[in-house]
Amino acid sequence: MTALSIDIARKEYTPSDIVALEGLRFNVEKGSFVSLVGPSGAGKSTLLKLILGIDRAFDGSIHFLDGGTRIGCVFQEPRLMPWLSTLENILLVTGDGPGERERARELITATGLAGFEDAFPRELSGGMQRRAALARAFAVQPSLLLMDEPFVSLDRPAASALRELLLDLWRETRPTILYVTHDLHEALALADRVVFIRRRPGRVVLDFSIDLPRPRSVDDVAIHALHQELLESHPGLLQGILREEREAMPDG
Amino acid sequence: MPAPGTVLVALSQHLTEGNLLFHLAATLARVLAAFAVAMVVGSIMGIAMGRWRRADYSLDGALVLGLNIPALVIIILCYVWFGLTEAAAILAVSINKIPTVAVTMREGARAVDRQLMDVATAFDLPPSRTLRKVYLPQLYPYFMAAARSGLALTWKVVLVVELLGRSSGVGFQLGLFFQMFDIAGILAYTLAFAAVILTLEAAVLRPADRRVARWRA
Repeated sequence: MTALSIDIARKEYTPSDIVALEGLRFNVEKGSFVSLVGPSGAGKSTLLKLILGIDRAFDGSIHFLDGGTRIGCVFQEPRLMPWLSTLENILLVTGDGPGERERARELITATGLAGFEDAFPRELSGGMQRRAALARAFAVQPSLLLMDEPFVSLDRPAASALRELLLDLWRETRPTILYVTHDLHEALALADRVVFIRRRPGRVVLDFSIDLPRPRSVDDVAIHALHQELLESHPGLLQGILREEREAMPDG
Repeated sequence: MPAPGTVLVALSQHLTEGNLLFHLAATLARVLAAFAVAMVVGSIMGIAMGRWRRADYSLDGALVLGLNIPALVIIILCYVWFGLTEAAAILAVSINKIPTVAVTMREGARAVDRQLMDVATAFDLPPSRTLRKVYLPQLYPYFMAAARSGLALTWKVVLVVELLGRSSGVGFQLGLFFQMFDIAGILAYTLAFAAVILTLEAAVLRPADRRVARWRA
């Protein structure tokens, strides 16, 4: 079943007239974990803004499975309200009630933030702020979770721990996840499927399913092998260029 | 220049035998009324100007004018047009204060963090919650700054308003003392009023400031 259907005919920025996305089409299956990989400037964050309804100026359509799609999201920066405590930041998105408080506390514990319920964001480390942002996203019990390089700029152990945590939470409630990253290792380790997009205008160049068994980690030999294999057959993949795609080749 | 002792004696006389408390209360009531009007109107105006370019364009001329017209001109015009009434007095003080509040609040509205507003949109928060928990907290520091500078300006102007067209209040009394050349009386009233303002600052504004800025510490 398709949870999210994206069909962006064209998205350009005004007044610069830069075409950010053009002919970008793909579907996301319900409950699946899809990674979106592309070079910076490929319009990945732009796409998330369109899906979230932050930016509505585009040609095309974005369809959800049904009207009851609850969207959670994690941005590149934690984006917690500095004037709200950890608990209040979570209750901000869920509303405040006994049930919501109970669930918020469970998530705070699950994300390893127990004891920091009443701490303000500036009192939390970068990693803890990202945990709080993750807890906030899961607090709305999302059926669709959008993530924009959520663990970027963290050290490797912290990032690994957060990926583990994300996968645990995903297994429990099974939301559909669209995960933007420019790190192919991370994408291959996390996702069921990787959608590669090229830059300006952004569009899908390769849709790649990953059949490796879970659990996997970014350091697995199989992930490294897959990474190498992909880049050998498509050397320009991370720049958004496929070998077959002549128009994109420099001397084609 | 009277000796400090003379001033204190005058102060206690005005307190016990005179009408110092009555005049002090009259002035304070005017200060609070004008202050409240100016904060509300100035905030709405400033936020609108910071938020919408159209509002900024159409109100900017009035704002520059308001910032530069001498307080005395506004006071005289208000009394001439609306009569020597309490409402005219408070209106005159408010008009003097509104532009500075608006300028500060406009800065605040311009500095609102788009990224945090996007969080509210992404999680589809109800508008009232977005306003209370995401938008307004970003404006509180500006509001507090406007309030503090505002209180100072307000009470200075209120005294002039009272001198020119009221028959009560500290300003009115100072006018009488001036005619009688009673410098001890002037200083006694000044002392009393300064004490009230300092108390207000310490008991209301500073705690409010601390409470609002708790998360920054």
